[in-house]
Amino acid sequence: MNEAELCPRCGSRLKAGGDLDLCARCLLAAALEPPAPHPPADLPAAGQQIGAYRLVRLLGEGGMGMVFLAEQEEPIARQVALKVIKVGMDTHAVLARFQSEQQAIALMDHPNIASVYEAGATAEGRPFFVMEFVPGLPITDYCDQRRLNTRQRLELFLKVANAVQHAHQKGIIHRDLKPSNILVMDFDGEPVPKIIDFGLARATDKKTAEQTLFTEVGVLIGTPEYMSPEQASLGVRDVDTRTDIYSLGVLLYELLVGAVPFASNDLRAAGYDEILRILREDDPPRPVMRFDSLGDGADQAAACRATDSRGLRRELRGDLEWITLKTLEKDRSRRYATVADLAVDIRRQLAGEPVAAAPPDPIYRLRKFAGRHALQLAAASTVFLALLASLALSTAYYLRSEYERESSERRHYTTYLGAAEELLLQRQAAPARELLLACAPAMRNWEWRHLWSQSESGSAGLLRRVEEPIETMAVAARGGAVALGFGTGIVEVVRPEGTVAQRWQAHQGAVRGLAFSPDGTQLASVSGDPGGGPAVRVWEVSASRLIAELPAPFQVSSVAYSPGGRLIAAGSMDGDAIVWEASGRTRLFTVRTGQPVDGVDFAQDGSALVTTGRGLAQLWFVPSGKLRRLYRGAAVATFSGGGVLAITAAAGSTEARIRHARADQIRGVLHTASAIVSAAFCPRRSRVALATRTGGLEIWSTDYYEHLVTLHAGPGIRQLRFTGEGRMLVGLYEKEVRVWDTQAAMPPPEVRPGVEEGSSSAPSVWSIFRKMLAGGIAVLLAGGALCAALFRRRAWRAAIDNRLRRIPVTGASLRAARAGRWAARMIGALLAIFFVVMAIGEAMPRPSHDDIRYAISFAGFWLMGAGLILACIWEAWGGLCALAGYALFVSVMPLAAVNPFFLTVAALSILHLACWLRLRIEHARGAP
Amino acid sequence: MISAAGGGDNGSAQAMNDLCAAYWSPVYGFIRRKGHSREESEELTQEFFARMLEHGGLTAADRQRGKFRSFLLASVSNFLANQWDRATARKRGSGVPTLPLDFPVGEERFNREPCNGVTPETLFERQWALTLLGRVLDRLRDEHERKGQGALFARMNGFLTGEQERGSYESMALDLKMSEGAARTAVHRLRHRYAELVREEIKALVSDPNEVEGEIRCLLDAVGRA
Repeated sequence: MNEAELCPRCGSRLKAGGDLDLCARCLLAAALEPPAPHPPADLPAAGQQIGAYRLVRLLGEGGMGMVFLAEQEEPIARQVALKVIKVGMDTHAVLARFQSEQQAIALMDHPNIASVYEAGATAEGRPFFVMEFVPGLPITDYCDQRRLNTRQRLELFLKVANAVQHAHQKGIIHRDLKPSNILVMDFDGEPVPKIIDFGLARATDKKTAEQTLFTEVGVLIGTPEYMSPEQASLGVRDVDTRTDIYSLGVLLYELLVGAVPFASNDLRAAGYDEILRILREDDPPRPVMRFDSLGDGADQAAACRATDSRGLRRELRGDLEWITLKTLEKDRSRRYATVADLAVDIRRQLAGEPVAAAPPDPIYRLRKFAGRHALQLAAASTVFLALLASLALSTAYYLRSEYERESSERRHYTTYLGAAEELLLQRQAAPARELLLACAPAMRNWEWRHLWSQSESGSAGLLRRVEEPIETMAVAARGGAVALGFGTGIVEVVRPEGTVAQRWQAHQGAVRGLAFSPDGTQLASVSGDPGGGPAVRVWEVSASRLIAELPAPFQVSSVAYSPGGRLIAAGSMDGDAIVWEASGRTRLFTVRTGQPVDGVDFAQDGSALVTTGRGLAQLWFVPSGKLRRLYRGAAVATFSGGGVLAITAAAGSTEARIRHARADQIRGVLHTASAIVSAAFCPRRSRVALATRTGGLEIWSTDYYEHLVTLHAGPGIRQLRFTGEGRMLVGLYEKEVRVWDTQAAMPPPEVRPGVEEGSSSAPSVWSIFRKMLAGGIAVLLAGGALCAALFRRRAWRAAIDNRLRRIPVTGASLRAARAGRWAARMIGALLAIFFVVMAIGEAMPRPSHDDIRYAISFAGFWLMGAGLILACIWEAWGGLCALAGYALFVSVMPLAAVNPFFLTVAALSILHLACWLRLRIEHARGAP
Repeated sequence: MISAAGGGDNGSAQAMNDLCAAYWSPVYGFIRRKGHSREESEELTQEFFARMLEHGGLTAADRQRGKFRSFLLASVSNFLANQWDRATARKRGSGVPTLPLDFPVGEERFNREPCNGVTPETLFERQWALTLLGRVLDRLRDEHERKGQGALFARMNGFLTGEQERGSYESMALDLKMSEGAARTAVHRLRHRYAELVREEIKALVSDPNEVEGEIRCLLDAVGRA
């Protein structure tokens, strides 16, 4: 509804009488106050003579009286303005009050104040006043017509202020300063303002706002726009010069901005009580904001000030703003004390000097704000306090539970460590390791690592200890039996549990080499015994019976079965290697290596043979016996279980090279802590064990060539073999055989000693801080929304309303929105309570240990809760807040998107927003 | 008139008919504001008046309450509350001629009203006030036209609501070719007659003549709640 449809008199919007277009309110009021049955013959009209004055024409007519241009004949001929008070007043009282002030009024002698010459009564008994006639325009009209810029306006205003100051010095308060009482005329090309009606307000005794503004039936007749807050306070009669300062402030505001602080239409559309309340309580908008709210009128207003809206907006900011607002303070003690002070400030502003007016200090503004929004602020504070309290509580609970967890872990740790040490002393490694692994990773320290290494060395079970030196050994691929060859020519087969299964005299001389057939039923042995003739002897293990003797033309020192069990190879100290067919006992071929052969090994598929000796490894084709490849600097060479990898390690070096035998590529290089003594490939897993000179037993992965674990083997290890299953590692010493369980030695990947510190999940101060920060941000966001809701700007609202008004809607949706609003509030309040309970009870969902995700979900969670609480008061902000929280929460917890609880929150938020929008549209429609 | 309407004879039925024909639009607005659709409201309004007339509704009029306005409001509220009765009511009322109600006008009036935050009761009272004022203004115009002063009325009606801007008497006097004094007198007479007509109209709608003043204030109050 546009402004044109408002009644110009009472601001009401109701029209009556169809095409007559009259205001229903005024019509009814007119019916209630019927005029006297006789025509108002006594009302003065042009041409009439009143005392010494002849009325020439009517200049204007207002609620209180009529102003005529009159001519005086005696004693001087001059034109005067004559004001006849119309409404019924006690003429004698008016005249008496006027006379009491007349002296002071007569003493006012200022070029910018229109003189009041006389007061009297007409023949009908109406009081009238005779004043200087000012043929000018109201100051605002004048300024707009002449397109005076801000500076010129201020200079003109200064003249007015000086005149008012002069009157104040004479003890006269105007009480009714407004543009129509300040007329401006040109005099020698200079604008000269004249204030009229000085002293009349006091004489006609405008007691209170009620009498000034309204008739008996509450129809507005006065001008509320320029009325000071103290005048708007019922029953306050204590009006002083600062009232005029306020009215001057409104005038200044209008001169600068082009509109009074409170829109006239808003004021007139409001009820009587509302007008007074606005005047008493509402703070005037900042000039710039008011200017922006003018919309299309802004450009016009700027044009009247000989500038554009940008320029005017710039001028309105800063000192002028504070000067204007200081004159418009509700509390008059905060206004300028005198008009002179105001004038000084304006002069300073014009001269570019610092002004006395300044933005009100924040504490004052806060107090004012709190006073205006006591209820909302109480609600907001409750929300804030609840949020803060639960944040503090949950943090405290978190810290406390962390502390308790830590102290209980420490207690467990010391207990476990003590028990593990006890077990290790009793050489019970496995249970000790169990206990050590049960210790929390965060607690493990050097004492733990010490015990761990002890448990590792302890896990090397002693398989067999003998009195005489052991020459060599072989490990069966199946069953885990170990064959030992002694210097006395005796061969022993030891069961995995350590008992001796067989023991027999295999050779006369020392046994140099042993090899189990792949099925583990046969054992090949070679001896350096010159007496018995050089031969490879094949034994049936179960009966320790000699099955075959493969004669060799030279001394053999090492022996090996091919993986299929079809071939047997033996290396000789003379540099030859012979391959027999195991079944046919025929010699297949002989190769000449040129140096003593320490070891022989077949490739997995039996297609190649490798011999090592004196730092040289040679690869031969089987069965052709041709040299395929030659590696120098290789102390140990053996085929892996997979068949394609060969290891060559330089003697005494700390480097092991894993080669691809067929492609002759180095696949990986392993660096051990000290020189490699022996090496063994795990037949099943891609692992290699390397025994070093200092007694370390390093196990490496050949997949990624990374070090897995170092077992404590002790010095003196001579030979190393994996059992067929690849779990146990068998080490040969001079007089004993030890077994390691590599599986048990392998710590769980995530608690591997020495690396666990980096991935520690122990709570750090930083992570706790981040959680608190997330909570803080959530609280701040909610607070920001609150403040934004509280500081809703009139101008924004006007602009938004303008848009909303154009949206087409149905009446049914309005009813639905009303019901929806309350339903959403009720459900939201219940959910909010649930949120707070959940938060305080630390039952909040913890999506993961990841701190950032946790922080985001935490913030989202809080936002949802705060939004629901907020929505009970401001559904739009609350709904937005809760929706943002939901989005945040779902961003880290996608599953929460379909959780009924969070779904409800999201649906509620949307409902809130929809209801708000619908009601806002309705409000915009109804709003002027 | 209200007394006549309660008498129960033919004259009273006619009086009732006239009243209903005059004051149906607040009832329509009330029903609309209660949330019924346009078609539904038209039907309900017809039925309501049909029932009123058929039952000789005003025999039930509470004379102590006195005001036709209050009576009508209470009746229509009751009527809407007993909506389940609607279908049978339609059957029973089928013999009664329907009133010639101009629903597009009622709808237009309803739509013109700002209705944010206004109860159906307030809306009813407002519409009532507007209808009443419309009737009074029509009578005033008729009177003037009968006296051949139609042009005068057309020029003067703006003065009903009080004094105008400065110089308007003068310009009116010029327009009507009369002196300013005569113009002032004419306006005064117009306002006086207007006030009389309002009182007369209201007097017909209340049982006690002393209530007239109170009724005006009451309507002013309803209108003022805009």
